[in-house]
Amino acid sequence: MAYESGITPMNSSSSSLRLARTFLRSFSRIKSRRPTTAASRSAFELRRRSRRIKIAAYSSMARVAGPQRTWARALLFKLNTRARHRTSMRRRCSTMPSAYPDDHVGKLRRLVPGGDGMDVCTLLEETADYIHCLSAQVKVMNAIAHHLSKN
Amino acid sequence: MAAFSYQYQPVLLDSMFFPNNSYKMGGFLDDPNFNTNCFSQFQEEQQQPIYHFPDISNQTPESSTLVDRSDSADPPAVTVTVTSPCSKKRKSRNTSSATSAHSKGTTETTAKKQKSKVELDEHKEGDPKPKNGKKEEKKASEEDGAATKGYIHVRARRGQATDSHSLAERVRREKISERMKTLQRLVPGCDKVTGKALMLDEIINYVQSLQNQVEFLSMKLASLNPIFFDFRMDLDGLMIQPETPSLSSITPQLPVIDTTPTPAISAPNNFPLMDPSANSMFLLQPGMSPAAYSPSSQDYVKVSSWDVEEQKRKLLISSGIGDNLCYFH
Repeated sequence: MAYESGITPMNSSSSSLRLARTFLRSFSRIKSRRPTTAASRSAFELRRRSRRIKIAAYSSMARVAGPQRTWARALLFKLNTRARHRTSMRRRCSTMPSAYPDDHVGKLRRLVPGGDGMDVCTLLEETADYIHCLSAQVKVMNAIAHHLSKN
Repeated sequence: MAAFSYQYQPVLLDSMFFPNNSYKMGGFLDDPNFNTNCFSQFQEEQQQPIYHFPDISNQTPESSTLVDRSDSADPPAVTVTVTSPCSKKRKSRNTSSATSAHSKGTTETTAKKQKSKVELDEHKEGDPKPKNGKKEEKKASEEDGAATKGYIHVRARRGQATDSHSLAERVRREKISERMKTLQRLVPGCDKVTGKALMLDEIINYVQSLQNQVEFLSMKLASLNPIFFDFRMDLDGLMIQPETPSLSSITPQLPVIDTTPTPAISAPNNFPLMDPSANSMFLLQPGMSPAAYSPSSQDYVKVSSWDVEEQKRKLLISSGIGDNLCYFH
């Protein structure tokens, strides 16, 4: 009912569960890769791990959303290339001027991954889907954090 | 005759497909080679050295009268009622060209014939019948989408402009407003503001807050759990549960709504690996976490203010998860 453009809405609980499962799997992989407890207390290690968890969160989101979504493809591509060429990407991003206009649509293009090649209709549609997935991801992460802090 | 028939086709394609094309760019971007297909179709038929409107109106009076008749037949709703006579014309033209011009590429004409057959089937029965072969199936689905889209959307009321550019612009505006309505349903607090600029502001703020929250939660998760915790062992225990407890375990358990019973999280038998030493390690962690956040205290403050906002919103929308997740796909 939300989209008439040939996209069938999936079962909401199943996709949310799939998101939770994917994220938990990568999260546990990150946790199991942790070297020692003494090194993990330093701020650098903490930041590194939080970045890894963030990447895991975004990539699990994109994988659950599927390859037919433009934002998911762009996000996965960005994460993969950033993981591979992190330093060069950072250098290029720092020197490159922002190519977008400063209006609302330009801001939205900068926020939604892969939004710089779209027209406005597609951008709004992708934004809607991105907001769904982000809110579901936030819920999953909130639940995990709450659970871990409770125990 | 052959030359005339080949002259006629670019006119058809221009008048029929250009407006529909410009609508379909938005909706069908999932298919990445859609544009190339359409334009290859154009190129394939514009390889004959004959071009657009003025030549044809000069040379062939019949085609110009056809176009004029279809335009002047019903001025209020012009566009898509044209398509079915056009497709029939096109089929007849195609067959005549196939019979008269055998020296041309026969494969091309047969492909066109099949396509026009598919079109006719659509116009008779309403559902497309995909032929064998991937290409024709794709073309048929495209034309079906174009036809249905045209039938649904493109209606010019009395007094509105009926040329193709204003029709396309109107369809684009309708689409944008429809998407904005969808987003308005999604973003909380967006239904109170009026005007597209303010709504876009709200949407941008919401997306930014969600991204900040993901960042904050990843930091929280990184700081929370330094000991090894095997999620894979109890993943089945966590996931293979009846629907409602697992969903309630996914909801953010904020301290305001903690009075509601949450059976899934408080159940200790989900996590058989937890022992008392692990619990003590966990209890150590909140004491450690402010020091851990000291390099990025600004983020912490920002997102904690967001948390207050979230609590307010949760109080407003007490059944938030059902509302939000029913759109999730």
